Amino acid sequence: MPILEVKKLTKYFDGFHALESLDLAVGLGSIWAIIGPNGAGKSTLFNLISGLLNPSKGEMYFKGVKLNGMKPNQRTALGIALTFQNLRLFPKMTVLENLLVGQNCRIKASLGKVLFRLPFRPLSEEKRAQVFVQKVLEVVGLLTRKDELVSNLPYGDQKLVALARALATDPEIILLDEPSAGLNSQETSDLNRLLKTIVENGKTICFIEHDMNMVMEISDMITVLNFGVKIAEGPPSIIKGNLKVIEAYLGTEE
Amino acid sequence: MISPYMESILIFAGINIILAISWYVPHCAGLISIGQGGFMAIGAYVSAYLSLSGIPFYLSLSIGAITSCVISVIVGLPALRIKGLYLILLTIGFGEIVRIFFLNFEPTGSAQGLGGMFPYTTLLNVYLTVAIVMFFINLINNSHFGRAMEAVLEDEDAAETLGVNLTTTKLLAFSIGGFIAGLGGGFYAHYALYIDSDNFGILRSVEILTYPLIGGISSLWGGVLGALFLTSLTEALRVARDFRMEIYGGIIVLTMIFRPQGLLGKYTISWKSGRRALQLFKFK
Repeated sequence: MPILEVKKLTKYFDGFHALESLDLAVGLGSIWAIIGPNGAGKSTLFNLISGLLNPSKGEMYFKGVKLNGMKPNQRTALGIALTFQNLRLFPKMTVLENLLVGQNCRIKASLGKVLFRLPFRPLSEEKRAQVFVQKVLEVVGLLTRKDELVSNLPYGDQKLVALARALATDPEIILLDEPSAGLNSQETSDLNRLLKTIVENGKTICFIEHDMNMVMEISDMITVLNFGVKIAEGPPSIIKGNLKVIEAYLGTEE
Repeated sequence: MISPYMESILIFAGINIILAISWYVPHCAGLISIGQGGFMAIGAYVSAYLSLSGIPFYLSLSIGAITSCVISVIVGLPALRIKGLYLILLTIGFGEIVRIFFLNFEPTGSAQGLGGMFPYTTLLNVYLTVAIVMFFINLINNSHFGRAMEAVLEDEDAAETLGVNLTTTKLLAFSIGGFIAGLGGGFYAHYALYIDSDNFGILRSVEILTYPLIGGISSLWGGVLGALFLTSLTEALRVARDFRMEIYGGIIVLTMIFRPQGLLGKYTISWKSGRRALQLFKFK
């Protein structure tokens, strides 16, 4: 059963077709890769699903709920998380605070409750959020650096914070935009292991990636986009030998 | 005890601290307002009018602040879709509309202004209010509301994809600002004892903006320090006579050159800095 379904999804930018009538059904519990050359519409697809852009045509469903017209924060509350290619962390906040922002949509306490609680007694929801976030930090291995400012961390750790921040929203599906870009081979293999653990814990991962080794190693299914159109879809073994895909990446022989 | 002159400086400083905080809170969510003078005017006129008609001071003060808060929600709902420079321009426009409204509004004296209030504002109730306001703002800053505001300030889109509701977060910050500015206005009206629309023009709004700017834009204490510093500076510079405002302006320019982030940084005064200082003495 698909957790995320996209039907005839189309996006035009001033006449430029970023995405053309795309059908996609991401299976529950899978690691689903979206690949394609630059400008193929991969990031546009993620921005449409997360709600940062509105589609020109087509529908999106998450567990049968129609996403069209919902605000990004409502989609996050439903269980869709996103990381950005350029991270977009909150640099002046600590690692812990970055993650706690992700827990915001899970805290329902009203302003009155915040203002008129007993002094020095944190709200139970706040405590729960703290515990949850620390657990996430433990999973990604950043617990020791939780009180550091994000801007002081090396790039590899910042990428982990971005992933952890998405996990902190307690999502069911995580959309990762180029999770391995800029990482060295050691960090990439650590990331692969981490992503597998995340999926084993019942989440679904959908990711955009250029590192073919990583894509072939961890994904269950691959969707290939080129110029906004899906040109191939299937498990890694099939995609590897697909002529169209090779053409899209390497060009045709004269 | 302190002289009446010192007392009046301290009371004006206290009112300015309240106004500085009213600017600081919207800025926590990335909203820059040069219209706080307008909200101050609403608080001042409403509370003065009510206390002149015999309603107890604290009740009229509260009603003034609440009116200002309600109007900030009404203004904020459409305005907060606008970002950056355009929002600044809009708040300037709002401040001027309020000023012109009170310039022509007969029941509150129009151009003649409103006078005859009883001096209810004292050193004690102003600084008690400062303390209470700071206490509550601290509670908000350390809650999920505060984190949402900070996230919106740093990156709106990222905050929204993390589940932060932009509309409510911005509206909350803006309306808290409106409420506190209304409080400041109420205290001002019952200390100055005479108000007219010129007290609350764009100059006042800019003045309110300079307090946190000089004191430190990223912490609550920054506005407090800025208001204390600049209010006492204007008095201290009286010896310079005609050159007073030139020196005042010069000091602001120099502060901005040598400490563009303001006198206080984000963690200069906070539990966090205390904890960090302690960490220096811990050895592993």
